[in-house]
Amino acid sequence: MPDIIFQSTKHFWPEITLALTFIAAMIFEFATKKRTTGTGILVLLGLAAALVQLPSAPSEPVSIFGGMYAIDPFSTFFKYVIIVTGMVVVLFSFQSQELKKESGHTGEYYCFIAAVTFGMVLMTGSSNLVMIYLSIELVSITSYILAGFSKSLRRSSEAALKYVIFGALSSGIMLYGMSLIFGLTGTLDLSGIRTALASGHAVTTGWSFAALMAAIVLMLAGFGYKVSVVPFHFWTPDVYEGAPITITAFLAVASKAAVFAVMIRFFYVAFFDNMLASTGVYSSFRNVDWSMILAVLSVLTMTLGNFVAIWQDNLKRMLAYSSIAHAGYMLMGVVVMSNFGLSAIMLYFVMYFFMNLGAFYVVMVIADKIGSENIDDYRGFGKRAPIISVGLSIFLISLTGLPPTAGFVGKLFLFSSVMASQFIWLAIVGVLNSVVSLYYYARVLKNMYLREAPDGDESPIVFSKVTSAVVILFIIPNILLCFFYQPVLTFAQRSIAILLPGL
Amino acid sequence: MTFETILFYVLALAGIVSALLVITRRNPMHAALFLIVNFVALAGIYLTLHAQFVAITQVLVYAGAIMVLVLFVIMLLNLQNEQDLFEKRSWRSYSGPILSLLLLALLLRTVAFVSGGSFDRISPESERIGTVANIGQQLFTAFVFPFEMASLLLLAAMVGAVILAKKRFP
Amino acid sequence: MHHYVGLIVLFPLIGLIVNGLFGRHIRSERVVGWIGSLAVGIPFLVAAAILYGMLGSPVEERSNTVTLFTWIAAGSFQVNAAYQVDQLSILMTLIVTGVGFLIHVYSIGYMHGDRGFWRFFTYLNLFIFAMLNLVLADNYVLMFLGWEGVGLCSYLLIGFWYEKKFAGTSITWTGDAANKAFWVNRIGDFAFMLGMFLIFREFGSLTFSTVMDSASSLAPGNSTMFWITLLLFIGATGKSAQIPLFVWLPDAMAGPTPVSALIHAATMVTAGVYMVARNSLLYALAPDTMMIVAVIGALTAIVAASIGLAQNDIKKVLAYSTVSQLGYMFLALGVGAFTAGIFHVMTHAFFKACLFLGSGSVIHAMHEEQDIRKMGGLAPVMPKTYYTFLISSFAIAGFPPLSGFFSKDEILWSAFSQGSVLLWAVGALAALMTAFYMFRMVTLTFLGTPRWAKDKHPHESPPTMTIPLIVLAFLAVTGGFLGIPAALGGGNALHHWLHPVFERALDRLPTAHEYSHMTEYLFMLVSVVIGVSGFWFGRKIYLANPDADDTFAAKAGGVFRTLSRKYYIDEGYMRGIVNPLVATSDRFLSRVVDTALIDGFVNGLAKVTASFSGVLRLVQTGVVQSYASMIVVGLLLVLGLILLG
Repeated sequence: MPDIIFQSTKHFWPEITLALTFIAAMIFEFATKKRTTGTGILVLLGLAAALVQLPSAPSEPVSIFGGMYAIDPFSTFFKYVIIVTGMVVVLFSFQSQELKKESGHTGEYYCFIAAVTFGMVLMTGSSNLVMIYLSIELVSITSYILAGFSKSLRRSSEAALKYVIFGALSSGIMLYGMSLIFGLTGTLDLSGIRTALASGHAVTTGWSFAALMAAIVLMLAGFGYKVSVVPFHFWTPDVYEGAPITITAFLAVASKAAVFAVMIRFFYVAFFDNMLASTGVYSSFRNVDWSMILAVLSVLTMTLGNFVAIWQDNLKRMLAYSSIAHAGYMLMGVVVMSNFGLSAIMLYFVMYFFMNLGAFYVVMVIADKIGSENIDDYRGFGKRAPIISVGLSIFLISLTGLPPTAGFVGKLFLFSSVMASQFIWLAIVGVLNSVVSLYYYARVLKNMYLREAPDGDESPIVFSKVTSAVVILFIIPNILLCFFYQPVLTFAQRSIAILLPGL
Repeated sequence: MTFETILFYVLALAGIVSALLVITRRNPMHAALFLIVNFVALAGIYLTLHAQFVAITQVLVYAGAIMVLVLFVIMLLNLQNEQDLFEKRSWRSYSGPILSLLLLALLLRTVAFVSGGSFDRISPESERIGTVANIGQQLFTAFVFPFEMASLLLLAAMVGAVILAKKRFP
Repeated sequence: MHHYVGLIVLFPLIGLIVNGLFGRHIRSERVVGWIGSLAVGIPFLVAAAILYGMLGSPVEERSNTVTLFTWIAAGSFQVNAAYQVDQLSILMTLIVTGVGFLIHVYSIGYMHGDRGFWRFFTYLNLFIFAMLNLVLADNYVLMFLGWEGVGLCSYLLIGFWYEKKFAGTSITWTGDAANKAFWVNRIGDFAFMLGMFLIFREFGSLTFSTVMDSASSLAPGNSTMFWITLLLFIGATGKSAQIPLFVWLPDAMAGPTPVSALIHAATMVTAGVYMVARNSLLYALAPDTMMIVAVIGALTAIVAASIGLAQNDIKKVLAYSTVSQLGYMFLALGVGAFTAGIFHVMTHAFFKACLFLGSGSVIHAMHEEQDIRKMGGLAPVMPKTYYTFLISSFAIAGFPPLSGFFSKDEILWSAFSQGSVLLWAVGALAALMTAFYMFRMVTLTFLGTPRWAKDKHPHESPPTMTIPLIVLAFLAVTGGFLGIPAALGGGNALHHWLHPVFERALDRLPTAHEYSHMTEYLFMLVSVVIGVSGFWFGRKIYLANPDADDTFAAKAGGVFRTLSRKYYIDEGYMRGIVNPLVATSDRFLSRVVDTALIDGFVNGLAKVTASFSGVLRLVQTGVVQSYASMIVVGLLLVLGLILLG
């Protein structure tokens, strides 16, 4: 046993770095009372240290800690996204006024960012049901805390409370599903489950099969809750609106990425058979029409997200609904159940990272400047703050999925993968939904460029050079990735191929 | 009708009744106390399954620590007027129980008949699995990694709870 | 050498970008003007270098294709941004860039002080860019791009002084003239596109070489070929102002004179001629179309010339003259004398550009006065302008040994020898009219006693304007020597040069009757006599009596009025086509279809979406218990679907 542990730690260094960052940051926070930025920088360095260790991850899948954790290019891809998101959020937080108000314990904020990142990274590699549950819980609990961080704002505490209640409920449901799976297959390990199912151990009688399906649905409820899939999304608008905006940004991008990683791993390693040679599509045991169910969920999610966003006046809440809609789009890729679809999801996450974080950053700096997140207060911004407005415009256009932005490429591949698998109606629904999304994104643009400021104020709103630089830094990849997406796509495709051999 | 069967039915009944009482009592203190009864009943059921460690932990942690915390909070809140807490009888208050029953029915239908519908046999393995010794061994060999990760989870939860709860120092 | 063809197209592009983006801020007119001019001058040098290279290489190697990049690749359909450098295209390139350069330099002086100076040069460069793409393209699509591009530039440049009023037919503003040009061209473009579609359907490709190779296996008289060539020709009538789509050209005189010179005399209007020449093989396969081309060319030549007899605006005379000369070019193409047509393109570019620039010089000197009845006696005041104008007039009238003589004579000879006597007669009559109206104009403008208003002080133009005039006049004199016919002992260098391009077409034409050199000399003599008589009578009548028009009007009122009113063609179009179209569009299409149907549908859709989402958002209640209920409902549904479905 000790040998296994020592062998495993060799590959576990990035995660260990993250855990140490968390602990070190807390100790630092204790030791030096008022130096909150210091803690932030320490966390940033820790995340960076973890990041630089990622490229040396083995390119062949390795299972460590006795089958608990898996290191493979698939999880490494997501780790990149998550850790970079964490670093970016820390950088954003340095500038956030919201957090400066909580001056008493802003240091702990950074510790928790480290903790959440650690949890998310853990999620991407979990290959055992216990680990999946633990990592999801770690992320959930730290998210609850971070969501309620702006204690001076009532809505923040409300957000945290709703999040806790909802999260507890969903965790419970998921845990029940896990227990059923354990009962049916006798093992908690994902590959072990696969073996058990393949040998027909669990699927002997009709009832067992039904129970297995019920268990999977329950687990789906748990995953769906974290990714904001309808009908498990109800916490999302309230929490995203109430939480500090940096946390909203973090949750919207990284949390989704991590859960998609674990969801894909769970479904594909445990439950899906090898690819049907002709269509490149995976078939599940006994051919349950998972694709139809997931497709329906995807459609519901997209539709609800896009349609309800139309009515929103608060930009944060609107972005929350928009992220629900994006979860719907990404779920389409899971529906497809092929290499193409999965690599499309991974590509989409990279694009999503740039456009979503950019949009949230702009909302944050504008909210800090004028104290409002209401769309009506964005009137006249085009003239008064040109760089910021251009940035927001590009991010919103990217979120809609129009060329020549990164969002377009992401959607292009998602829709292509869907159409390649004969789910044409799903692609059509997706495109129609994108059209609807154009409305509410364009409303912001309209306010910024075509409307006068309410009091006729034409004075320029000055943002610091750093702010403008950050915005430009996010604009550039949004445009560039539209043309130079190939490296990312190739990396994603190779990762999928390794994760799911037999391709 | 073995002793174990009778014991099971008694404990199960106690559990269900106490659970129902928890959600229908007006006085939060009463509800909390009934919850303790529920936990103890569950602990008893665990014992019938030879899961000694889980049973003891159930009593210690749930009935002991958690319920004490809950009782503390209820007392601190010091509710004078319980009438304020009452929920109007709307379709919402009726839909809850109905939906739960439906869910129960559905789950029962699938899960209940897995091993041919008979639940009066306990696997002989259970005597070995449930012992403290076995759990301890598993926890430090096969499951040592989740064990350590759980410790980090606890650390985060503790610190977070303190942060959320504390008042600002002047 | 031909690899550098990309540079030819690149420089105007650079010029237009620089002037377009920064021109407004560049203070010095000189800089802007020279940027624009060099952007055309350098390509001329490159083209000359390529020509030199071609002259040095054997005939088989003279035609090359240079591909820049793949433009469209959709399935099996591929179109490249590629240029075909062969004898014909390099000749056209030289004409475009050479004459273009001179006109750019001229514009520096002519547009001096204009508020939109930089805009003018930007548009000019854009035009050159598009025109070069047109003549160098190796496929129909790129050619069409250039075709449309020059149409756009024509619009932009005609309407350059968009705030100015303009007395045209049914037109009051310059903008209207620009619009008219664009719309009439559009009709032609539509036909061109239909032709392209047919070509693609027939041959599966839109690249010239592929199409021509496939076509060489066809027999003449094919009905598809008839339609293709006819449609393409209709496109040409639009761009090159032939009957029935010529009505835009006279009104295009609203634009600045350099524009008239460059676009509406020397280059753009010849695009149609070039296009037909490029498709010579296809036309050779459709003898019926060729006859139509010849007939329309001849008709246009004479009708336009007759109208020109009764015009008083100096530019309008030249405009109708251009239409008429273009008619000659098509007449040549129609009878199978492709080289003759291209030859006339070249010589016409020289002398017509000179004439237009000269008229611009006059207009400038007379402070925007354009009515020749109010001029007279300008020769002593502006000698350089006068002499260059005179030389070019002799050229257009067909006086030997000027260029116009050789090219026009070759056309008339071909009209006779490869066409019919009737065609020749029409052409000859038109030539008589040409000489007459040209010298009427020269006399009324430059000779006799001055009739201008007291406040005008005409003077010679600055060197930036007169030097191009001199160069062009020189070319008008010497340009003809490239095509001295065999009958006169020349080697007809141009014919030999272009022969490989037209070889396949010429092979398929019916063999012409061989005539003796004596017959040819006879016809040449007739041409000379015609030219001289026109000159003689024109000069004599108007020198003696500048108001001779009034006498004509009195004696042959109806005829004269018809001519001066351009046979009422414009009015006919307005009443017959334009007005009904506008009425339908406004009353039916706009109100009924657009507002009620389409807008109603789209707005209705939006309302449905809004109300649907309005209902949907009520789901989000904010109450946690209802959230929980809805989760359970969702779970029930999914579980139910799986287990029971």
